[in-house]
Amino acid sequence: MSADTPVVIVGTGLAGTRCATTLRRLLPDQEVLLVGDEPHAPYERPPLSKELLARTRGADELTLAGAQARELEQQGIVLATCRTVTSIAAGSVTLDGAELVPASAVVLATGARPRSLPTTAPAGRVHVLRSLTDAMRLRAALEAGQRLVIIGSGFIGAEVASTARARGVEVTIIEAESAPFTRTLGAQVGTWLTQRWASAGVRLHVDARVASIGTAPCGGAVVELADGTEIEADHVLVAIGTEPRDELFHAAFPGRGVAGRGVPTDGAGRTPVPGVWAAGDVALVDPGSGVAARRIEHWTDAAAAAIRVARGIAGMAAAAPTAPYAWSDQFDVRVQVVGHPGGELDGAIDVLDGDRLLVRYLDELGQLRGVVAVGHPADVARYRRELAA
Amino acid sequence: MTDTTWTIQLDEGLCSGMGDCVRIAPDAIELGADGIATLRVGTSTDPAVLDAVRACPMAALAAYRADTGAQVA
Repeated sequence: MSADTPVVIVGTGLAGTRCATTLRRLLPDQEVLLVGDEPHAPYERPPLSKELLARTRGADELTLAGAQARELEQQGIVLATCRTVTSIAAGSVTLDGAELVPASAVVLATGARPRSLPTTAPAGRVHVLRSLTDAMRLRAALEAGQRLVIIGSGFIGAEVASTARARGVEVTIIEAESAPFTRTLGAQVGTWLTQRWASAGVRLHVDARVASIGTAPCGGAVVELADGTEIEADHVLVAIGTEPRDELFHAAFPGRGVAGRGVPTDGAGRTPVPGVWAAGDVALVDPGSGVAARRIEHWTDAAAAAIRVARGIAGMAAAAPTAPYAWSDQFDVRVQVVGHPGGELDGAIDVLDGDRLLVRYLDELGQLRGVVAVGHPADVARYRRELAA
Repeated sequence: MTDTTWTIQLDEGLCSGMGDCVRIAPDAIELGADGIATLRVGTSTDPAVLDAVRACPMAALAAYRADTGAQVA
């Protein structure tokens, strides 16, 4: 691999940025081009649903640690923002449909885009939350007394609900399942959390399907449910998950995986195409241990995957495996999720009281497979070590 | 500063380099070249270290009372 031919990393989110900085540290002479279509230098995404919306941190205070544009430059990383990679091949990428850039390796860290819903509501009323631009737009919409309908009750929806309630916004959440988090964290945790939401004044519609998002008679938005219920709103947030931005890979290498399901990789971030790697939300990871391939959309896992890819490109042994890990700050608690909890099996509930919770999930063989915790940081640390092994 | 001294512990294996702790207690914690936190001190009397420990979303930090060994954050 020629050090003069750059490793081209597509995507300036956490995975792309962390891959770039790790690569430069491991291979100080390796040229690295970090390219993304957003206008901003790399920034932190977790505060977008929390501190940024709450206005306790400004857009200029969201720099990824160690990854300000100036710091990247000091590390010898070439950062290209506002540039779109329009196609890739093994050994090159094309920028903006015109400029062919040779690449000693290509790393896809393009992330995911939020799923949207069809709408005929007036412009500017229906939001998604993924980018800094999305967050600034939503922030401007969250004024006290406004009515916000959030479609979807995952972590993003819940965190925005929490921030919006604190700002005096009227919040209604629409959930398709019988309780939030039923499939992901289990019904007990879902029920425990939604009690907190109710105490904070959040209205929740469960078993609710959205039929349409249209224009209210007085000019706002109106969300119509399948049962005919109409909910008027000043603003609507659609937070129903993401789809991977995997088009570059599937256009270049048809027949390797399924378009729309992510870029297939092994546990080290290798795709089936030599010289092409993927990390972060775009990657459909098959760790090869019999566990089904899945996209893991956690901040912590994106960081770890990016480091694995950098080590792989540098020809180094894989780093020690880590257990999937996520957290969510909402309604004055921090929910921490380790491993693979799930709703199908009964969880073993160890603690379930006012402000604390510890639920352990066992697999068919009685082995621990996941933990959900609130207010038990020492246990979270212990289970993160235990489940990584 | 307070009369109490706390011992800080860091599990580098759990740190993801988010940097919240460094923003809160820069005198006690910094990010190394690998982007992962390192402790600048083993003990501290600055209550900011407790805030830094509690802020860590990764549960990579812990704080103990130096006199009793009891975990406080």
